[in-house]
Amino acid sequence: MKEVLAIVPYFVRSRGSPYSPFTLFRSIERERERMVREVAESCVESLLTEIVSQYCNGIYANKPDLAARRIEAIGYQVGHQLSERYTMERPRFSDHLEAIKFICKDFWSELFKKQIDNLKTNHKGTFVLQDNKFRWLSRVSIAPSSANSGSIQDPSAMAESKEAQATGMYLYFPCGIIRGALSNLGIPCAVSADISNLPASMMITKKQPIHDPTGLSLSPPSN
Amino acid sequence: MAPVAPRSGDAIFASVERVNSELFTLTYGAIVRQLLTDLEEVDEVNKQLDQMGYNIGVRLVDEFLAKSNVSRCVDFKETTEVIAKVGFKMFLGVTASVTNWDADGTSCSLILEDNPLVDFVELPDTCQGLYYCNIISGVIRGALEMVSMKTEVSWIRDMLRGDDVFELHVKLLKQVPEEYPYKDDE
Repeated sequence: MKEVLAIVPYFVRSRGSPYSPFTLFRSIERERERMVREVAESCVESLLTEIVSQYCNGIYANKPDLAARRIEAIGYQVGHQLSERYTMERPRFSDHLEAIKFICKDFWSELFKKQIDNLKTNHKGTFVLQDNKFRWLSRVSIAPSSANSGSIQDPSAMAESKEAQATGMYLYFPCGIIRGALSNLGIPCAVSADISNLPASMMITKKQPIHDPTGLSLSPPSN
Repeated sequence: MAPVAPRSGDAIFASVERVNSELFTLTYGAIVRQLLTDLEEVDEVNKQLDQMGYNIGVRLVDEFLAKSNVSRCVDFKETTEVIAKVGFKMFLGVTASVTNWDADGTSCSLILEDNPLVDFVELPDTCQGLYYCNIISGVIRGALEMVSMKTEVSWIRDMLRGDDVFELHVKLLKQVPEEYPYKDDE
């Protein structure tokens, strides 16, 4: 008899709640997450600087495309794991736009303490995310002449300017993060960045069905 | 005029820009993983991590000196205390303790009970030779070299290998006297 009594309130609660019966447990999880610890931002910046320099000048000194692929892969890994953690207590996203919005708001806030400034879409699967003050580029400067070729969409054009190339290398990491996060949410895509207007940074996320032949020209290849 | 008082590690940590440590921990984890794939040999990865740490230490010491207001340390003992109490706190948000001094005060152990670098980390059997936190020893070596101290930094205990704490052995090899490229006008 006691067991039945124990079950009844459980159902009552779950019906009254807009979420699943596990809401209670998830809020405990949430509490634990709030006590998340912090490290100095310079730790993350140092790591980023160092992976770019090690991969571009050391391990793959004369193969920028290989270096880029590795840096993107590291970002992918990070994005994949972070989005797994940040969506733990959420209901499943109903569509792609919801997931992209999550990236723009919650996910970006966790990483950079600000949201994406502008989100655009052509309603054909391409989304443009714009961050007007991207933290990881706040201390990067590039020569004005290279600003026009500052897109990492075309590596051959990029090669003509060392500075643009270096900045481009830094951007493979956040591109990888976004691709990893979206992939974890079930959205395979290609992500590229455009920095023609530093320190502004623009992320272009192309939601790309794998069989769609009209993909973006540059998609940092998956690992 | 009295010199500006050195600031405590807590005060500096509270004032610097911070990020949630998950980003840091997972980024580091992803780097180690990628290096293991690319370099294949665990020893090579250890070397690479140490080198990355060294480069970071060389740069980070500037930020440390600028923000901490510490004055010149009188000896190696004071230097290691400052690293443990201020340096670790200001960047990683944790403090270390210093023990096991040898008789002539040139080598000691830094004990780290809490290390954000290894949250969520477990080493698979294939990586038993890996010094996962080797970047930290590199940072210390690099930073100390910038303040004229040649050191050797190695791991003695490692929680990822089943020890109860992290223990770093720091040995002072040589204190390079500061030399200026110019002569003072006398």
